[in-house]
Amino acid sequence: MSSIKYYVAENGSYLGSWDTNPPSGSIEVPNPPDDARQVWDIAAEEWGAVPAPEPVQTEPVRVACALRVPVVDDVVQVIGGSYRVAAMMLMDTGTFLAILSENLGETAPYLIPNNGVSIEITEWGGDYAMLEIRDHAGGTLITPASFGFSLYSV
Amino acid sequence: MDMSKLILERASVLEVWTCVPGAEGITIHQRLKNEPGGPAGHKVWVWDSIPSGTVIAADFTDGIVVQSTASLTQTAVNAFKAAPTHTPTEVLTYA
Repeated sequence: MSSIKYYVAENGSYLGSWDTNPPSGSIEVPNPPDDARQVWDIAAEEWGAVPAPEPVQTEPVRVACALRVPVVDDVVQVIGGSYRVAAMMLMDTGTFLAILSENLGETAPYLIPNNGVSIEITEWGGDYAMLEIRDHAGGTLITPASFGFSLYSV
Repeated sequence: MDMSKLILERASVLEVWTCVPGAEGITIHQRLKNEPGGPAGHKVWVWDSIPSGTVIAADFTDGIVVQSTASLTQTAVNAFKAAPTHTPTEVLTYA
């Protein structure tokens, strides 16, 4: 009958289990860790805590944009610098509907306006977005002479 | 940069869209997908430009027929834009 024993390195990091010929310089411990990342505390003779997961850091990704949208006589003239914005229409003062050329999913992306106005997504459908434009956050709905925005997912 | 003007009727409301050329089919199908019977068979108009002003009505009798897919509709739109059978002033009514 074999007798499995567990070993750590001199710094306490878990090496594995052996029944014979453990690594040179390794230290036998009474039991294996629950998680291989745990480190044996030689003084306290117990396993340390499972390390917290590394925070995932992802860069924001621009998923759509319309960088320059001039509006004349309540009509969108141009969708300049467009990426995935297929069409736009002014619905009411300060309220625009944008149609996207691809469905970007159920979660509304972050919207960053290009100029000084405040733009908020008030309705998100994956392949369309209702936008409200105000003179400042929480301010009055306005139809600017020109605006632009980028949508970012994170 | 040239844009397209798309005129369609949705839930009895006339809509005038500014479209990126080539994206008219996608826009048409997105806007009409919830119409009774789906987009296919509806009629729309698309031109490179239309006279300025407020469009209040449109005669869609000879309009571009929306096809079963956005891609097929785009082909129909492109064919119409290459050789328009009607001008905006013939079929659009302004305020």
